[in-house]
Amino acid sequence: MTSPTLSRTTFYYIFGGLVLAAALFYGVTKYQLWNAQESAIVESQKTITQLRGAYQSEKEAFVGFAEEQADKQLQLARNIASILPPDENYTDLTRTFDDFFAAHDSAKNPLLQTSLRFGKGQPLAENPQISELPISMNVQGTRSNFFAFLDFITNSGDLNSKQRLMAIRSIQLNFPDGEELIDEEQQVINFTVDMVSYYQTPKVKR
Amino acid sequence: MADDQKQPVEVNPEQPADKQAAALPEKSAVPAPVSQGEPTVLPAPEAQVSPAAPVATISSEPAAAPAEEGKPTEVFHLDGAAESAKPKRSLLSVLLKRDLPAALDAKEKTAPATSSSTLFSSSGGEQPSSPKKIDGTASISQLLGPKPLFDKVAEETERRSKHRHARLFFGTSVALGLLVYGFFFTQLDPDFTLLNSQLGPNTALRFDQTTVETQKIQTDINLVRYRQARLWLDELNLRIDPLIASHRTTQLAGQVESTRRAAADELGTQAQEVKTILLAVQKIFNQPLGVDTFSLEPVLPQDREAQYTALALAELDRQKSSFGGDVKQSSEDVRGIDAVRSLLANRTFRFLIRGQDINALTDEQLVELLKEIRAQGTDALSSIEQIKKQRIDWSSVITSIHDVVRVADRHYGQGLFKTIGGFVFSSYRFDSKTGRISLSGLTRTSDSKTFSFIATLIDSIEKSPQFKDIDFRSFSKSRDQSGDFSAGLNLEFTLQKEPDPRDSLDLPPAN
Repeated sequence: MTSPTLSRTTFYYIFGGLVLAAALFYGVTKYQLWNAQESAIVESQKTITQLRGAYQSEKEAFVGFAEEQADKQLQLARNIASILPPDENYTDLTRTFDDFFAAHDSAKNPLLQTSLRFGKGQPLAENPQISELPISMNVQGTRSNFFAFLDFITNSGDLNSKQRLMAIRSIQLNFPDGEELIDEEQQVINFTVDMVSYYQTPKVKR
Repeated sequence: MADDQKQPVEVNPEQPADKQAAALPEKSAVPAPVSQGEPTVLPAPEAQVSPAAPVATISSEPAAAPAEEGKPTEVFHLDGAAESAKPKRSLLSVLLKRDLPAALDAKEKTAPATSSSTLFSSSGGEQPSSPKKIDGTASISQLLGPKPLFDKVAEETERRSKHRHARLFFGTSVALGLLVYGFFFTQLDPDFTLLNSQLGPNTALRFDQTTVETQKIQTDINLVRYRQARLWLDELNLRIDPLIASHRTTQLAGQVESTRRAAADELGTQAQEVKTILLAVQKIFNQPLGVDTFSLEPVLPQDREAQYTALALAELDRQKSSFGGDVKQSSEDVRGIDAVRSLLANRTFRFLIRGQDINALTDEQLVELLKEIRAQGTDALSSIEQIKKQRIDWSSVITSIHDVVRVADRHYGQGLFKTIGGFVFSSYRFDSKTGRISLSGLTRTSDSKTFSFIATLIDSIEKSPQFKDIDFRSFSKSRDQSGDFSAGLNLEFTLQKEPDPRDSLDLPPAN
């Protein structure tokens, strides 16, 4: 027996109450988020101020340190370029070998490089930033010079020696006397060496 | 219920008063004293009342004050007796049958209660304010007052008023809801930029901006730190090789004592300098990459580190791309950026340095750590170190071959082959890629146990911790003119890098 007007009145009260409750719930929820964000903004501003101060001081310290290290950096860059040149640079390598063999060759302790061949350089499969240059040579020399040559290759690539990085792939030794004489330093050995020398893969292809 | 109480009751004047009284609702038979403000519904007492009704003395004292709800209301007293059970019906009975003046007087006492009605009109009727003595001449209309009129206009006005209140409540609620939603929507949606020009950025946008700004400054700090770490590591790289060389000198057997002592002193100084550098690098790597910013979602420390690493890498890429086609500038600066980039991307390297108790490292541990740093690094020197680690020290290999051959032939390499026999090798072949070693030569024995002699050499090689996988299964020999036995040899075996179950337990393991 409720009249339409009364129904609408009830409707207004019920739905008005629902809307009010929903608005209250939504408002409380969002207020917490809004309030948290406002607080976070204030805190973040403090953090930003602190970070700016830290950045300035650390940057100044870095600039001073970089200036101090500039000479050492240059020296390091040169050393690295000497042991791992930016190109295959086989002509320098040829001179390096000649220097070594000439320095160790003497009448009593001969060392003679009879042949030298360079292959085509190519990047390493496991590290394309580095390339290897194949080298093959035939050498005749005394046992002591043979081991001196092995040490020369073993110590290459050291920043101390500043010698270009090399590695032996294979060696074949022959004893013209027919027998190896371990304690005979002057025994002549013929050896064929297959080796590689390394360099930084050029950015521009030849 | 309220509506029912307000329903007007029609009274037929033709009907006997008894019947009408009986037909009346009990509550409306006599206007009961009501609380102030409540409308009172009165019947229309048009019926004739017998004048011969006995006179009754009515005291209106109890009815003068509003009765409490739920209690019998004392309307009047007949002959001094209180009628509290059904006072309205008793009053009507008195009016109709006995004493109309007394009833009239009682009516007059109760009539003021109707004056507060809003739905019924009582205009035209006198409302005596003081009790009277009934004289028996009052009519029923005088007794009960004017017929109350149902006022639809008043009811409609009241309903409309309530409706207006409801609508006002609803409208206010909706408006409030919209206001709340609108406020928080405009404040918490970072994409809402409509009012930015008038009110500035909203809360969500300012929140995002401060977060981004925090991340940017922290990224700038990270890049400065890692550039500094890169410089320290370059300095370290310059010192690693001299330190390792000094350490090697102190470890070499047969070294002159004075040289060893000088190398040891040099090693001590170098180690201290290297440790200082390592501590500086460690300090940088121990600092967190990320700063703890506020975020809507929780962020784990490792996720934060990954996030800030990505930000730093992106910034480096941006700087690198900003050089554009300037090759001269890029050659130097890009290399520096690449160095920092590789350092940032190399977590393993960072953790390697982080996890060290650097001051407690011995010289041997320090050398191993430096080699590991070289190996784990991603710069040119680390690549060099990796290649150096793969190289084979052929001098040591040749010496080891001599040692194992001498197990079978203790006179090997002394130039006695032609006189007492033994082994002789005319050629060695080494292959670094496969680690295979080939020996070609001869063996000669004075007795016929040439094959046993060879077997001894095979065992010696296999049991050596330096070599493995020798495979020599075909034996042949010949007797020469002097009666000695000779056999050709072509041995192949492999360099051993890991422990092998065939190694002899009597021999020291390979380095």
